[in-house]
Amino acid sequence: MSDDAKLPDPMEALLSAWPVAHRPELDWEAFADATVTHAFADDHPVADDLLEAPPLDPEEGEPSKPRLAAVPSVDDDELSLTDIAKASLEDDDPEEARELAQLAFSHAHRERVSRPSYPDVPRTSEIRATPRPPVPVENAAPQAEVVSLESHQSSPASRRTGGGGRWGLAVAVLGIAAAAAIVVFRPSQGSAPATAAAPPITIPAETKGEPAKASPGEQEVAMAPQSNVAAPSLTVEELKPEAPSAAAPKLALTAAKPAAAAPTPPATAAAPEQEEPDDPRLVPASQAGNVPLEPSTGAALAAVGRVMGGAKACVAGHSGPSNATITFGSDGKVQSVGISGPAAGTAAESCIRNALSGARVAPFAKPAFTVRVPIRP
Amino acid sequence: MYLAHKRMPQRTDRELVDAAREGDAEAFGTFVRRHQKRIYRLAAHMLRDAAEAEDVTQDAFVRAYRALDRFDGRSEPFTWLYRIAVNLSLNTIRSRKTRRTGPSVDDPRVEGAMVETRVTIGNPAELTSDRQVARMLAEGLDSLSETLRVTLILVTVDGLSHGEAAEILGCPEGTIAWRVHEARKKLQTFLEKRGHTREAE
Repeated sequence: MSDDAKLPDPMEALLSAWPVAHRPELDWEAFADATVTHAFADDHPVADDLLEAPPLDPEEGEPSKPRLAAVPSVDDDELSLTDIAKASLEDDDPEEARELAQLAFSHAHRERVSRPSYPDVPRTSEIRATPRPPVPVENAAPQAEVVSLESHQSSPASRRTGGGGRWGLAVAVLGIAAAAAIVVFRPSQGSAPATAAAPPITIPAETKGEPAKASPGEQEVAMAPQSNVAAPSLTVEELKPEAPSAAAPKLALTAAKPAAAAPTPPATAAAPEQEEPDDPRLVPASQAGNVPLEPSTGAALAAVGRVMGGAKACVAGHSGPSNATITFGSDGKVQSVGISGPAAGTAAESCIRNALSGARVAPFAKPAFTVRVPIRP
Repeated sequence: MYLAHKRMPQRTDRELVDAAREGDAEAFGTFVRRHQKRIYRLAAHMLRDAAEAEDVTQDAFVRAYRALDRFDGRSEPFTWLYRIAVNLSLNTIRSRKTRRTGPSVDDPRVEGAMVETRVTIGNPAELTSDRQVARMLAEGLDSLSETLRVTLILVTVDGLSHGEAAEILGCPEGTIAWRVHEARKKLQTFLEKRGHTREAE
């Protein structure tokens, strides 16, 4: 129950533990004996309507169709993804859609946690991290502009660098302009490689999405020769190996040569992450601590639900429900378990604590995440 | 006899009901002793009358026994019993000639709460305050509709799960959750209008 409908504490206490009217135990014994005697003596038939659902009027505003609990409870484990999908097709209420989404996420999380690992099947992150072989640039096409744009749209490296993509596009345009200028103003050079003529274009280190650095960190980038093979590649070469800066090497993208048939040496550059694996900016997101801010409530409840059986066993025979406040640490393990209600201060408290400490959620970014669950006998 | 019952190993409700179906009076007696207080509390909250609550409690067990052959075993015996008790309570309420508007002087809910409190506390000033709390809460419960009151009693007072309450009342669990929340909100509003707020504590 959400706190917005919480009553004053004395009222809450009385409501959750309202005593049965006091009477001596012997009275209850006599009452039970009389009841059994009546039951065995009575032979009146029982009307069917007594055994059916009580005829209660639906409350105004009450959901008229089967509705899922506001917060996924452990009972929702019984719903399959098929049930959720069917419910979502029948449902146009945004609030219920949100609940269904929570449930679906909860299921997805459970499946992710319980999914067996297949060592022979590479994970997507592993495929991304695998260095690609250099792409030969023979039959280099003159359409450097087109290839550059394709590179921007599909290169994983450019996607990862974020704002650097825009810089790359700007560099590409400038490079084309420079190449065009060379062709127009220096026609006598014929098929001379454009790389030799194109002046390097200096851009700040922001290319990779970082704040501008001082001049030693600046990078010189020129247009790269492009191939007409399918895989987009901005060929990276070190134009100035004599540059002393190791932390910020001067990289250059050599401009495409307009000559069509001339064989070109294969590009030797690899993906940026292969060249600079230590650069945190280039580490794949999956390796850079890309965890959710906090687990979903559904995921946390599902995790608690998996160990709830043990906790319930601890309170067997208790008169009323106890409450457990479970705090998960950012590593997904249970940090602390607080118990209130009838089990508090009894042997059941440590029993519950031990049982619930086995719950696990996926790691998350926040320092802690807390859920509160009732433990009913 | 009572002590002898206490020494017996615990049998499940299903085992007791199966034995009672075969005519085992002792097994049925154990079933009655196990649930009679809770059924009485439920009836007392619904009826607000001790004598009527006793009648309904006894009648619920008698009807349950007479209908044992119709218990299909798909639900728990105690939810089946609760359903009979709720139906009997509603029948009693609807057969009354006049509608009761508030707790009576000898309201079994308030008296039950006060007897328990008297044993544990004993301070006259606190007793008066506790009586006011119990009375105010009883009035708040009475201000709810039958639907909300029954649902809130089953879930909050009796501690049944939403699933168990849904089985008793024959509606989805989501409806139970909605009703409980709605009942609490209305109860909160009722109490706030009378100066009982969380901030006022």
